[in-house]
Amino acid sequence: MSRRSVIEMLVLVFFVLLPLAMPTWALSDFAIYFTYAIFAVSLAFLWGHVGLLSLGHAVYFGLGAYAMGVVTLGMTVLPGWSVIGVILAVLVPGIVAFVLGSFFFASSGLTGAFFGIVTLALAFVFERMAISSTWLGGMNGLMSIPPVVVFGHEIYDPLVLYFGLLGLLALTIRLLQVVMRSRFGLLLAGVRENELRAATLGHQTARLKVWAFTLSGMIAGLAGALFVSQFGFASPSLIGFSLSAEALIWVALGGRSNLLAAALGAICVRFVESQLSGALGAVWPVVAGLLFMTSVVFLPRGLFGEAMARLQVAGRRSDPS
Amino acid sequence: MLEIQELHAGYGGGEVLRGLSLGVAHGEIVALLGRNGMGKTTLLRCIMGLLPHAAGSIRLEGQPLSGLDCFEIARRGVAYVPQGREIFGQLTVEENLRLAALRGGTIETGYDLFPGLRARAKDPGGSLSGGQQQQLAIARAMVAKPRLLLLDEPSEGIQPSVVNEIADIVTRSVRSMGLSVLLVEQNTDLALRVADRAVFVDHGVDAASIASRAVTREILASYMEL
Amino acid sequence: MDRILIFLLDSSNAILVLMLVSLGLAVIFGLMNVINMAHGEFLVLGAYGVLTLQWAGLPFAACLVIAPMLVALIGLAAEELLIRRTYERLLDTILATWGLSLVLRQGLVLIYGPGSHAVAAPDMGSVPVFGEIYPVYRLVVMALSAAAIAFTFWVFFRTALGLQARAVIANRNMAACLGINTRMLDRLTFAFGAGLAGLAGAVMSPLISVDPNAGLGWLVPGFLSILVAGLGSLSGPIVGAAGVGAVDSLAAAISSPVWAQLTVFVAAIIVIRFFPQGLMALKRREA
Ligand SMILES: Nc1ncnc2c1ncn2[C@@H]1O[C@H](COP(=O)(O)OP(=O)(O)OP(=O)(O)O)[C@@H](O)[C@H]1O
Ligand SMILES: [Mg+2]
Repeated sequence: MSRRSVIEMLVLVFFVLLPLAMPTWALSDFAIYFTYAIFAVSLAFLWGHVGLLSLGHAVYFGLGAYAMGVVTLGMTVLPGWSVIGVILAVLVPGIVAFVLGSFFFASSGLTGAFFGIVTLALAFVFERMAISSTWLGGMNGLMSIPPVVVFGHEIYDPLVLYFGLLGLLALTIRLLQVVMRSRFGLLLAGVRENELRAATLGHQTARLKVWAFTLSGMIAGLAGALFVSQFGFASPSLIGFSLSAEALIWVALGGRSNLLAAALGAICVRFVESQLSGALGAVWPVVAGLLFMTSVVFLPRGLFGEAMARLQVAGRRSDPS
Repeated sequence: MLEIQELHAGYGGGEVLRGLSLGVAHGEIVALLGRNGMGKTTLLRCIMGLLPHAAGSIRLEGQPLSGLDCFEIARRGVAYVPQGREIFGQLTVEENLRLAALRGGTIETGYDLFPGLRARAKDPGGSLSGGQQQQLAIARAMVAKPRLLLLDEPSEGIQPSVVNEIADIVTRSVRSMGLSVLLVEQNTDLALRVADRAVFVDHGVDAASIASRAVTREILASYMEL
Repeated sequence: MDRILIFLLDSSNAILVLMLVSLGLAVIFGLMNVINMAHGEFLVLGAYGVLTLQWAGLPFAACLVIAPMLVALIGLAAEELLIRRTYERLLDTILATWGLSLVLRQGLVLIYGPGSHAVAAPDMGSVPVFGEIYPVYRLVVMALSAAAIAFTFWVFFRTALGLQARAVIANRNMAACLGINTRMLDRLTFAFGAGLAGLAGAVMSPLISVDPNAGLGWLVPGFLSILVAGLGSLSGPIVGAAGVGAVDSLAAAISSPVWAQLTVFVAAIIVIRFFPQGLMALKRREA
């Protein structure tokens, strides 16, 4: 087994054993952190692996959240089943990401900073639309969104939520790792390293990016759906600027080019925040911002990304095979 | 004037200069000759402080230049005419010269050297012909009143008649001012005609230093031919 | 007729201030290749500066002068401590300045509280403009903004400092080879850009509600302005801000401010997508 998968296994084992050391109520907090981690992973895939820095990624999270809410609250003609909610929560952001991606990337489209700024402006547009939509509850959003129902059982038991979301997070990371190692994933890495060369080799780089963007949007949407069914309401803050900014912090602090590191970034920042925000209050965002800046300057690979990279190098040195 | 000892430098992993030593005396014109890719431009970039060196020393009038910023080296009297000229295409001819004259020179020096530039003073540098751009690049270097002039392939891409004219003007001016010059040039006839001494660079080291008059066909062939 | 005149005056007011904001962004981007996400916060700092200095008992005119300078100093510190460490990494400048904006915003919350403040407007009364009564202070805002824009152009195109800045923009290494201290220019440029934003915030402070989150509402239109017209020239942000501001004002007059903003954003995104070089490149190609 490679050093890398040993690290991944150990992290998984840690989280499987963690409930033994925690009060039950804390479990549901962690279930929420895992949900955020799924969102972080979708962003890290797009940013770290494809090289597209989306400054408004909460759009897709929020779309998933609202889609789930609208369906399970019975506001559509569809039956209010959780399955349908989840399906739409993946499809709607996926379609939006596909359409926007096609628009952005087709024939020498937006790159780098331009893409970032445009996605940021879009986050504003979507947030404004959510606020001004009375159907979606305006400023207040959608309330009393029911929990997920599986085979007739409402899932709200903290332990079940904890392991359910831990499993989903692990599955998402695994899935994206498979994607990244596939031919599609290797081509995406080629686009990141040198788009011009990938294009001259005859690859349709625009289409590759569109699909990567779509996949990322779908996963973000899934995270949004999972979030609202635990949290109970969807508000415009889920779709706009501030959550996008937060997700960037998680991923930058954790590690942009390593999915597990990004996930750990989300979990840790959220956990530390819950521990410290009581004591630090309004000072906490300042601390988070300073940490974020420090990591951008001194640890571009992120806290966990750097640690894992070092562990892997150390492993390779001590193991001549 | 300029003393370089055991200089090592390169890009990323690969070392380009592998212990090169070289000196230029006061008022001396030294031609730096060698095949393509042997590290001549790299050496000039090191002297100018555009590229850090890994080991060795560069001294100007006894003062070490290591660790100084490019602008500080320029202010100590080193002027650089880079390969490809790198004039400011969007700025006017006059603005190009004024930039170099900000620290105590006068743009008239440049116009006196190449009077043809005066007529184009208000035109953007990018609109000049190749020969005129080279004149501008040299004039810009001279305006700064340097002590040491670094010239990187000034004849590149310019028609031969113009090359000789420029070479004569520059040589005369340099001699009269007593400037030291380090000249990189592919046109060996021209280089040997204007220089006092030739230093041959081979794979990042100084392979030979020979007075221009003493350079024979055989020597040239052994260092310059593929 | 009268309504149209007032509308034109109000729009010019908004456009001129947006021009200041975009100009600051463009100056910083042009010279340093830094995308300054904290620019909106610099603007807000200008407004808070006026607020604080007013509390300290200074006359309003003094506040207008000192507040932008304080913001420029903050910009100088930010450049030295943070920004210069991210040069050559364009996307990281976005992240670093984004972090800075977060810290500044929350810092304001800590010091001044999350709520909004009102800056006492200087009592200048109103004057007839082409037969319409218009507040004098708004005319002052326009005059100051126009003067600051003119000053920026003067510095860039008529002074030795500006010449050096243009040389650095064109070819940083070659500029250094001519003895230009590029580090010093970076510092000055960032401080100058921040100061422009601070000035925008200072002059607008009596006209807006001063709250920590007000910056975002300026940042995005500012960016869209410079992208719409195209990077790489000082007239770009002026033309872009005129376009963005005009569409915004018109749309707001027809519908509501919210829909106006949506219209502007979507229109700008479409323009940027199809003309990544900016609309001004189009004209250059024809010429
Ligand atoms: N920016 C760079 N990055 C990496 N390698 C470089 C770079 N510039 C030059 N090199 C390499 O360094 C070596 C020396 O290059 P240099 O330009 O100094 O040669 P030169 O002697 O000036 O050649 P020429 O006569 O073609 O100008 C070459 O092998 C070149 O490929
Ligand atoms: Mg060369």
